[in-house]
Amino acid sequence: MQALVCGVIGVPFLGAVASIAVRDKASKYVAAGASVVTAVLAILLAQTPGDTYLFGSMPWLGTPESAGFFGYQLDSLALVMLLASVLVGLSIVVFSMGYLSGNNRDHPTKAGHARYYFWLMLFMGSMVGISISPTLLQLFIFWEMTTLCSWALISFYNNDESLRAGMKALIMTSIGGLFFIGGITWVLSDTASLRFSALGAMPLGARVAVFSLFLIAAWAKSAQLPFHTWLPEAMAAPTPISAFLHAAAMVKAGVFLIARLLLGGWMLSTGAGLLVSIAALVTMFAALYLYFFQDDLKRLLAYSTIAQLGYIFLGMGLGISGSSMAFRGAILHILMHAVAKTTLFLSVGAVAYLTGSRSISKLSGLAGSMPLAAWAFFIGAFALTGIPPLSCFWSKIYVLIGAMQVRGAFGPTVVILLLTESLITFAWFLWVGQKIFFGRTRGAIGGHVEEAVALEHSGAGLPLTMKWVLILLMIASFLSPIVGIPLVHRLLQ
Amino acid sequence: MANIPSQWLLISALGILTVASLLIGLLGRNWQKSGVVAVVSMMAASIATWLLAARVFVLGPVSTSPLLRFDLLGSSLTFHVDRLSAVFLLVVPFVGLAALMYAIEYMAKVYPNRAPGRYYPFALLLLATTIGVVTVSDLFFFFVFWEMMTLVSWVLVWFDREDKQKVQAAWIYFFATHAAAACILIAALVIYSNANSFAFEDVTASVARIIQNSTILGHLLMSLFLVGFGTKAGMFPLGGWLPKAYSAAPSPASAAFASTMTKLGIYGIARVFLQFLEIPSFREVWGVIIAAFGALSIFFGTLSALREEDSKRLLSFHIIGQIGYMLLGIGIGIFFLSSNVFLASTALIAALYHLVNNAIYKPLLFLNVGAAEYKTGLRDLNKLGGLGAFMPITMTAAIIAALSIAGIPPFNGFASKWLVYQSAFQGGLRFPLFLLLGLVAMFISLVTLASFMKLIGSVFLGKLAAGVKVDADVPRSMSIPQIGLSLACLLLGVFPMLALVLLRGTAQDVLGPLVPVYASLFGYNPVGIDLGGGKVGIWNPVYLVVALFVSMLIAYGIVSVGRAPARETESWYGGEQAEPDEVRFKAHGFCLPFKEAFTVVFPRIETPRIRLISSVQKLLNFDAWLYRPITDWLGTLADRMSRTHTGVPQVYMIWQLIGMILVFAILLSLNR
Repeated sequence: MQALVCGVIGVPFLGAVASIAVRDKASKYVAAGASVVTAVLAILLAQTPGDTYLFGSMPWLGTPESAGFFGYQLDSLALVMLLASVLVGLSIVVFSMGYLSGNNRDHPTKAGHARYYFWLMLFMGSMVGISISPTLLQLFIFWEMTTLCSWALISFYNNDESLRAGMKALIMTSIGGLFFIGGITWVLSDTASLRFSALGAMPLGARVAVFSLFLIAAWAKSAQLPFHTWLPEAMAAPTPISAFLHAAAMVKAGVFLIARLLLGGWMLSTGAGLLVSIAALVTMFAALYLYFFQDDLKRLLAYSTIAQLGYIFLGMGLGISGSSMAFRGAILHILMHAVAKTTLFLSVGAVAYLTGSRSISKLSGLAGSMPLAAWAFFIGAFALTGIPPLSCFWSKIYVLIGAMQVRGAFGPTVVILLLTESLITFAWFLWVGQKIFFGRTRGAIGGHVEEAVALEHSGAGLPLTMKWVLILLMIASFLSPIVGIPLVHRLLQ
Repeated sequence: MANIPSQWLLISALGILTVASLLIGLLGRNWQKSGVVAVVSMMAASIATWLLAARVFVLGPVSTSPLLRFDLLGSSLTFHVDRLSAVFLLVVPFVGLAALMYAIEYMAKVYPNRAPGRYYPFALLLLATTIGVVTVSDLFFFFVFWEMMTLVSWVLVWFDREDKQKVQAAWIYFFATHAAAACILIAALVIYSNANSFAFEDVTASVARIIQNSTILGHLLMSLFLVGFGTKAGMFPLGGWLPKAYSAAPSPASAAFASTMTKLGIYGIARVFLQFLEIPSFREVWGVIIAAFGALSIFFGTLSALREEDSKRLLSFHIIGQIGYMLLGIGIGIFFLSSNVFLASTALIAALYHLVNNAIYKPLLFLNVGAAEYKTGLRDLNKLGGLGAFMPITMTAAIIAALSIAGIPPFNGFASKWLVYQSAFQGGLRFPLFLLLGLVAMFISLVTLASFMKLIGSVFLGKLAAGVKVDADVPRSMSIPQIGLSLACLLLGVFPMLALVLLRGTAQDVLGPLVPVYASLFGYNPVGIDLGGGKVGIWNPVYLVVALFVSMLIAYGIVSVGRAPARETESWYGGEQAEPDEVRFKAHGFCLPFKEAFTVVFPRIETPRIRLISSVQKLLNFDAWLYRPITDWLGTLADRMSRTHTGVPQVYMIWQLIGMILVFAILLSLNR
C-alpha cells in the first residue's frame, strides 16, 4: 500500500524531472510514460480498501509526538479526486502530444515542450498530493504548488496576454492562500492538530470563523464570486491546460478542501449551509448570465466551469443543511464534471488546432470537415447538462433529490432554479454547437476552414493522439458514472 | 416461443434497436441499404414486443425483476407490463414499421445529400425509448426514458438543420418539451420526498398522503403532472409547438411521432390520474378539468386547422383536436371513477379506443401528404391538385384516412367517437357540463369532415398544377405501408369488438376489478356493439358494410345493364381558355363563411428571448470597478514608496538613523 502511494506521488515528480532533462522531442514520451504509470498505480490504489497513515510529527510546534503532519488518507473522497486528476491528466498528456506542434494553427509551438511537460507533470504530482492529504498542512503545500504550476502553464506562450493572465491568477489564488494560512495557524494554535477533524475541538464561533477563512480560500481557488475574474483570463493557456487545470483538477482543489473539512465529523449550523448555498446560487446565475456575452469558445467554457463549481458548492451547502444525498451529488460532480468539461475543452482544442480560431461568430459549418470534434462537442454538452444516462445526470439528480430532503421552501426553490439553469445551459450550448458546426461552411480569418477541409482529406487532419483521446472521453462520458457512483455511495457509510 | 421469459423479450427488443441504431450511425452511408437494415431490425424488435403484448393480454400483467438497483435513491429499473402498456406495445411498433418502410424511398429521394445516420438511428431509438416509457414501473427511470425520448425526437425534428425556419421550429419543440419534462421531474421529486421511493407501487399511497397533508400541494402536484403530460399531448393551450415541430420533421418522422409522442402524453395522464389518484374529491375536480381542456382542444385545435393551407400544419392542428377527444373521454372516466364504474369504464375504453384509432389513421394521413410531397415537392394546398388520377392507391388510402378521422361509418374513427359521445351524454345526464362538452365534440366532428374535404379535394381532385409532372404512384415500399394502415382502419371499424375486448382488459388493469365484464359493457353482439347491453345504444357496422356492399352491387348492376355511353372530354369553361391554376378551386376558398365566423387563434409558443442588460454585465465585471482600481492604487503607492530609494547613500543612512531612534524609543517605552 505504502509502495503504491509512494509510486503514485513519486512517479509524476520523477517524470517532471525526467521531462526537463531530455530534449523537447523526447519529453512528451517521458511524460506520457509517467502518466500511464501513475494512472495504473492510481487504479490499483482504488481497488484497495481505505487506509490512513501519518508520519512526520513536529513536537516543537506544540503538537503531540504521535501526531504526524504528512502521509496519506485514502477514503472515497480522496479516490474520487485522485481518479479525476490522474485519469483526466493522462488524457491531457496524450492529447498534448498531438496538440503541441507546429501544425497547430491556433498556437504553433515548435519549442518549449520540455518546459511544458515539466510543469504539467509537476502539477499532476501536486494534484495527487492534494488528493491524498491527511492534514491541512500537506494540503496547503501542494495547493501552493498547484498555484505555481498554474502560473507557469498559463504563461506558457510567453506573450503579453498570457503573462498578465498568469500573474493575475497567481495573485488572486495566492491571496486565497493567505486566508488558508490564516485558517491553519488559527486551528493549530487552538487545537494543536492539523487534521481535518480538528475544527470539531473548537467552540462554535471560532469554528464558523475558521471555516469562513477556508471558504474564502476555496472560493478564490475555485473561481467563485467575487474571485471569479481570473479564470476567464486564464484561458490564455494552451487548451489542454485549460481543460486540466482550470476545469478538471486545480479549481476542484477548492471544493475538495471544503469537502474534506465537512467530512471531518463536526457540525455547522443550517444557517451556514444556507449561506454557502446562496453564495453558490449567486455565482451560478452570474456565470450563466455572462455566457451570452462570450464570443470566445474557451471563455464560454470557463464561465460554465464557474457555474458548475457553484453547483458543487451548492450541493455541499445543502449537505451542511442536512442532506447527505446532495453532498454525495456534489462529490460525484467533481468526477463527472471533469470528464464532461474535458471532452468539451478538447473538442474546442481540436477545432482551434484545425481552424486557428475559437470565435463563435466567425466559425460555421464545421461538422463536415471535423465530424469527430462535432460529436465530441455535442456529447460533452449533453454530458455537461445532465442528459440521462450521461455523466452529469447522475450527480445533478443526486443534488436535486438532496435539495428536496432539506426542510422548508428552500429545497423546492433550489430545484426549480437548478432545472432552469440546466435548461438554459443546454439550450445555449446547443445553440453554440449548432452555430459553429452546422449552417453554411464559413471560414475563420483567411479562409482557414476551407484549408481545414483540404487538410482532412489529405490525411493531415487531427493527429491520432487527439482523435483517440476524444473518442475515449466520449466513451467515458457514458461509463464514468459506473466508476463514480459506487465510490460516492461508500462516502458517508 | 411461449417459454421465453418476458424479461428477455423486452430486453432483446431494446437491445436490437440500440445495436442497430449504433451500427447505422457509425457505418450507414447509403439511404436504401441503411433503410433495409433499419426495417429488418425494427421488425425483429417488433416481433418480440408483439409477443410480449400478446402474452400480457392473454395472461395478465407481467413484471420483471429489477435490472438495476439504486437503493440509496429508492429506485430500481423494473418493468411492469400491464395491458395499458400492452396497447402501446401493439400499436406503436406497427406504425413505426410502416413509417420506416416508407422512409426507405422517401428519404432517399427528398434528402439525398444528408447522411442516413441522421435519421434511422434516431427513428429506431424513438421506438426503443417509447417501449421503455410505457413499460417501466419506476418514476425515476420513467423520467430517464422520457427525457431520452424527448431528445431523440428533438434530433428528428432538427433533421433539416440547414434550414433556418426548421431550426426555429426545433427550438420551440426543445423548450416546450423540456419545460414539460422539468414539470414531470419536479412532480416526481415531490412524490419522492414524501415516499422515499420512486416505485409506482409506492406512488399511489404517497399521493394520497400528500393530498391529505395539504390540499393545495396536492392540486399543485396534479397540475404539474397535467402541464407536463398535457404539453406533450398537445393539449390546449400548451400545444402551440405541435404545428411547427411536426411540419419541420420529415414526413415519415411526423408519421412516427403521430403514433407515439402525443399518445405518450395521454399514457402519462392515464397513469397518474387513473392509477395514482385515489381521492374521490380530487377525481371529480380533475376529471372536469381534463374533460374541459379536452373540449377546448377539440374546439380550438380543429377550428385552427380550418384556416391552414399547408398540408402538414393542417394535420398537426387536427392532432390537437383529436387529442381533445381522448382527453374528454379520460376526463369523464376520472370523474366517474369513484361513483359509477360502468360509466368510467366506458369512457376510458372509448378514450383508449380513440387513441388506438388515431394512432393508425393519423400517421396514415402524414404518409399520404408525404407521398404528395414526394411526387411534387409541394405542401401548399393552394398549389397542389389533380393527383388522384395518377396516384390511385394514395388517394384511396387518403380517403379512408380522412373518413376515419372525420368519424364516418364504417371506419374506426366513427366507432370510437360514437363511444366518446355516448359516454359524454350518459355522463351528461348526471353532470350537465359533460353534455355541453359532448355537443361541442359532435359539432367539431363536422368541422373535421369539412377540413378533410378540403384536404382531399385540394390534393387529389381537380387539375394538376402547371409545371407539375406526375406519372405514377409512389413506389411499393411507400404504398404498402399506406395500404396496411388503411386496412387496419377498415378492420377496426367493421369489427370494433376486436379492439374492445382487449381494451376492456386494459380498463380492468387500470381501474381495478370492479370493471364490468365485456358482456355487460358491450353485449353479446358478434357483429357490433350493444352498449350497456343494448340499453344505451347499438352500432352494428357489419350490417352497414353488407348493406353498403349490396347497394354498390345494385348500382354497378344498373350501370352495366344500362350501358350508357360515356365520353371523356375536357372541362368546359364557358368558351374561354383557362389555365389550370385559374380554374382550380383553391384550398383557400373552402369554408370561407366558417372561417369568418370563427376567428380563433391557437395560443402560440415562442422561444424565450434573452434581453441582455449591459449594466448587469458591468456590475459582474469585478475587474473594472474593484480589482483594477485597487491594483492601480497599490501601484501608485509602490511608486511613491520607491521614490525613497534615491540612490544616494547618505539618504539611506538618514533612514537608518531615523529607524534606530524609533526602535530605541519603542523599546524604552515598553521597558517602562
